[in-house]
Amino acid sequence: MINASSNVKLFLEISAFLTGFSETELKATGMLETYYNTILANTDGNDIDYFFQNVSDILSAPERTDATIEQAIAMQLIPDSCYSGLAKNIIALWYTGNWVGTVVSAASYIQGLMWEAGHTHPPGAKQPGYGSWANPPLSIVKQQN
Amino acid sequence: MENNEYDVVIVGSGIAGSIVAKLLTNAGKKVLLLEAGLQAGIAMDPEEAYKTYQGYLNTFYNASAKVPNSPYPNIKDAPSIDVLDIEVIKKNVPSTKGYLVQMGPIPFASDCARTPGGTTLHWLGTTLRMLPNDFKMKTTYGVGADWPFPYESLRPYYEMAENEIGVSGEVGDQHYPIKGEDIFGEDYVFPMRGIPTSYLDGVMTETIMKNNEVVLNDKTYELYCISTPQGRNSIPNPDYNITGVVWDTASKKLVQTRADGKDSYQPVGSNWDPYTGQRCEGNASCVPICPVQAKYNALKTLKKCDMSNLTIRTQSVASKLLINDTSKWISGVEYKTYKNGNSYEYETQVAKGTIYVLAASAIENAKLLLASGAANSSDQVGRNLMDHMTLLSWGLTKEPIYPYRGPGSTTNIPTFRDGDFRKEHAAWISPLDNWGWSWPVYSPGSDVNTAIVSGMFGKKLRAEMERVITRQFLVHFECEQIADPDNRVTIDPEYKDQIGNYRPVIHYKATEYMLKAFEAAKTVSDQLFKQCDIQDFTYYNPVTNPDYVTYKGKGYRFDGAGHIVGTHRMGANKEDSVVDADMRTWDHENLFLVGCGNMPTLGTSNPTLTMAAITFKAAEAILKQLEQ
Amino acid sequence: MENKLFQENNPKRQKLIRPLEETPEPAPAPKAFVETAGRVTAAPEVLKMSMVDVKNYIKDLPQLRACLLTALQLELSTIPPYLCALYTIKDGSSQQAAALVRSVAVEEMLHMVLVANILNAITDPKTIKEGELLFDVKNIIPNYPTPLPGNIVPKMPPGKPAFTVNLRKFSREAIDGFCTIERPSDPDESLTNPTAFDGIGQFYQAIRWGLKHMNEKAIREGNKNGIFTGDPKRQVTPEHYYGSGGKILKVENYEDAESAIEEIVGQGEGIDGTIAANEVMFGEGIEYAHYFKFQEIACGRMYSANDTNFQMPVKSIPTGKHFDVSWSSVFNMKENPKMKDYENNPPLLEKAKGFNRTYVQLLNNINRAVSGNPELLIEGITVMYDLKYKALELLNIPLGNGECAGPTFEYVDLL
Repeated sequence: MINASSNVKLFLEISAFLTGFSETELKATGMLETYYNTILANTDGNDIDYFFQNVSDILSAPERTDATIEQAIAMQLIPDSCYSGLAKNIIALWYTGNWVGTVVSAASYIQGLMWEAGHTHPPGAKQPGYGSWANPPLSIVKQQN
Repeated sequence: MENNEYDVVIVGSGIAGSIVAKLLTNAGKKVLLLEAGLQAGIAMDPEEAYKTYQGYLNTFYNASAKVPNSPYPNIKDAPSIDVLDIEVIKKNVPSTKGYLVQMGPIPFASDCARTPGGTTLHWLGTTLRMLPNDFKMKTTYGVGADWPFPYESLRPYYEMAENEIGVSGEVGDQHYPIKGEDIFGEDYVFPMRGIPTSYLDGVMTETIMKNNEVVLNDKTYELYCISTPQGRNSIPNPDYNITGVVWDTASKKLVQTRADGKDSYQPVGSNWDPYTGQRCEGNASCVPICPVQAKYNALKTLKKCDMSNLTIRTQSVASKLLINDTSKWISGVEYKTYKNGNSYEYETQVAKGTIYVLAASAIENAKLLLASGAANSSDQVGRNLMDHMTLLSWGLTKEPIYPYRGPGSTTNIPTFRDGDFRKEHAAWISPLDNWGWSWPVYSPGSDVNTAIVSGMFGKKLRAEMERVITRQFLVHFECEQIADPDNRVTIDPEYKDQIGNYRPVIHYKATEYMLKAFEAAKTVSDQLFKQCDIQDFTYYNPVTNPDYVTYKGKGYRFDGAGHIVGTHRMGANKEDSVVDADMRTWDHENLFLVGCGNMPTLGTSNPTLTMAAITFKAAEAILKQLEQ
Repeated sequence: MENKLFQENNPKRQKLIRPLEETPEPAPAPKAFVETAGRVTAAPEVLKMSMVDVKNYIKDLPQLRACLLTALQLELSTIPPYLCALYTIKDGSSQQAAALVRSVAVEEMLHMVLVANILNAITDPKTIKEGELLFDVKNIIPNYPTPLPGNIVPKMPPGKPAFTVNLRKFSREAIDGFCTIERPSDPDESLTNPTAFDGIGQFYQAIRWGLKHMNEKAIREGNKNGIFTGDPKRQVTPEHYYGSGGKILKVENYEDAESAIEEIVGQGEGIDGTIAANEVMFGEGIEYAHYFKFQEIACGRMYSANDTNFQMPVKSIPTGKHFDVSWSSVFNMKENPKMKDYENNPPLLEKAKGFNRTYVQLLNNINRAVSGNPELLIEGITVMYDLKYKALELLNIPLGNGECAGPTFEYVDLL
């Protein structure tokens, strides 16, 4: 079996492929450990073990490219029949901060990636300041000298 | 039993109760304020106020459904109405899931917050005045009722309310359908400059104005957009010089005080730190909670009371008014003080004062009167329950408009706020919404789930979310519900809460006047979307939408707007109204009712500002009566 | 009655500086000379930059402008350290301390704008080239650790190295540093460096004298407005600032400039020897200088209304309400982080650059605002919010050695 710390690493790596956000972007949410613990606490142990084994195989396949990895994810992780739908739950967790419809924590709500994907911020947090809404979001405005 | 030690006993610490308490205590009157909600919510000490409010915020973050009441405690001893309890009502089976007993045929669709500060904690903050014709609907259009006074006589009170709330807006932008009406008077400005309108407003206004003619019942109308005045902090207007309101004992009137120089208005910050919330910071969560309290809430008014004249008793739910058999004067308010929010333990006490003021919300005021057999010689108590029945239309724009930013709405289309069509169907206002499709379909969470279910992941998912979230457009049509005696609050001994107080029993339906408005609004919406090249995603679900109604073979879904109005209306005659123009009950000389329940018509404005204005008027009458 | 204790436009804010008085004037300290074997050397004992030196430090208008630019840099150089302390406090902990640090950081922004207003007020628009900006963003950004700009050398306890300003996480060390920056100087203390200002207050005192002397000279020479010939349109006005008790003041004449400096040093650093016993007041609703706010954090205790009876230097500790300060619920940010620390981690480096681009954007924005486009300050404030969120992203990234990444506040070219 793979040990816990390498599982966290695998979790981060596969999360990047699942969400379309880079590992650094995911780390910057500060939620990595919380989410890893969330899936451990709420998923059948066997599913977890086989899932990470599969993830490890996908990520360490010889001659892998992003395209081959994505293809493998689509075939081996995404179907609902695989690991009780764990991959989809992981995506929803990162995007919404919810585990199967329930908010994990205040921080998980605030760090939901869907807000960033939509060039905005979670309502009630990370407020952008007076009048910001009158202009396009800073994330799409080119910074000028 | 207590001695008759208070000049006035007020029930409820929402905006109406707080305004009365502030004016009365500052005029030297002794006031007892009874509040049904938890003690913590009333904290005035900065540290405690901060702690309680952070608690609300944290509850909001952790709530799965971030509905208007989600941050605030819902306790069993003083339950709140919650939109999450609204469900399809089966034939002849009342819905009793929530606090309201919904008899139907369709459920009443709005909620309010029963907590210190009341529903202003989660109001959006829109502060449009009502229009002159709204006050004489019967005379002008032959529907609804007339108010006992015209718009013009309410103007100074509107100014007081705008000062109290701290309205940001541009008077110069306020153009309404009937030209030439003098709404604001010469040189009037709001306390603060307009809240900047959203990027989305800018794009959509331009798009709408390119092709702005719509046809409705063979008549052509021009759509146009104006900025919306709001009760949240912005840049002070240097030309504004009103500093407040005082009771003038000589003239027996409320008088506005003015500064000599300009630059006099200071935005009122949060209750824990005056420098927090001096400007709206764009949290985009006005409903349900403004984290910095840049948005007005009634606790700000309560904080300005003369505390030496104010006694507040929280966790105290008024249960009955005691009436003197011969004089018909109110001789006390019986109230139940519970131990903690969900306990069965409580003590019953009686509060006594010279004058009594009910400020417990339209539904609670009516319920309390019915439970006491009070003020109902007209048989109008509880009747004429109204709301803005709200149609929502949503779609995707061609180019990104970047919603989910800024206050909930900063621009509105006023075209259908007034006109001859009101003889036939309801008027409406159409605010442009800044928060995507969150209201109708819980976006963007639901969009994420849809995409995931379809098998999307990775960069493709991220791109899809960017495409969808940044293009979501929502506009809604708040249709003015007209009074109907059968839309009503009643009580039934079979339905009580756990400390033995009545639960409101609601009968509710959409009259043909409303159904015609839905048809008309949908016609306008369809033209608007077509002309603006918006891909329409509006969908009314006949099975799952609790407020699904049909007209001429077509179905519509409406939502509540949280504008609960009309249950103890004001009028010129005691035969068909509960209170007079001073908001004194016709039946009991020392009982005043304040709040939205007084409003005979709703107009197309969010009612809080108007309600605040008439509350100043009521407070003036109360002071006058006290000093007789 | 003349309001001696509080500012005119804001009755809650204490007035902590005294009017400039030409007389009585302390005589120039006679230099003590010691003759040793025929050679004359200065006495070994240290002398503070004397009052006369401060008074005559600024000799001409170009030097006055240069000093004001230095003051701008000075105010700016303190903002990143305060922000680092603020950002590293984990959400929900040390709330009181966070609020105090935040208020100071927000006021340093105000001070920057006030200095810019003074500078603009004494700058003849005819001398400004089209599109010329008030300062040079690239060169004004300090390289931390940095000494205080402007030849300001605060006294350090014996055996300690010379004072530097650092980017540090919220810690006792950081708060000590802030206390040193904001410490009102003690007229009776000896100095480490006799040719330097012993504190920010003294530096501003020199600027006050400079403004006075240059203005009087210009008036004597027949200029009706003295040195105040600036373009009023370049003044940033009050509506552009909020979030603290301070107010932006338009500077159009000498009195305005004095008021602006009063705001800066009165709330900020205090002026040399001007905090007198019985004049400092504390208690709810009263606002006091930054130094005292940091003292409160250091002690985990507010000043109370009784804490009035002390002499300079401030030795008494606050005796008011206790509040919780957690030195452990803090992001363990590496001290004075640099982009080059992240070179082996390109995505992290990119994030750090992203932060710095936002920082440069903020400074560009402020610079344009104080160079004739005051309305841009509102946009600048939105960039300020973004800066915080970008910093927090960095702080969430562990470096693998128990420390985490942090904002580096360095100059980068924008795209």
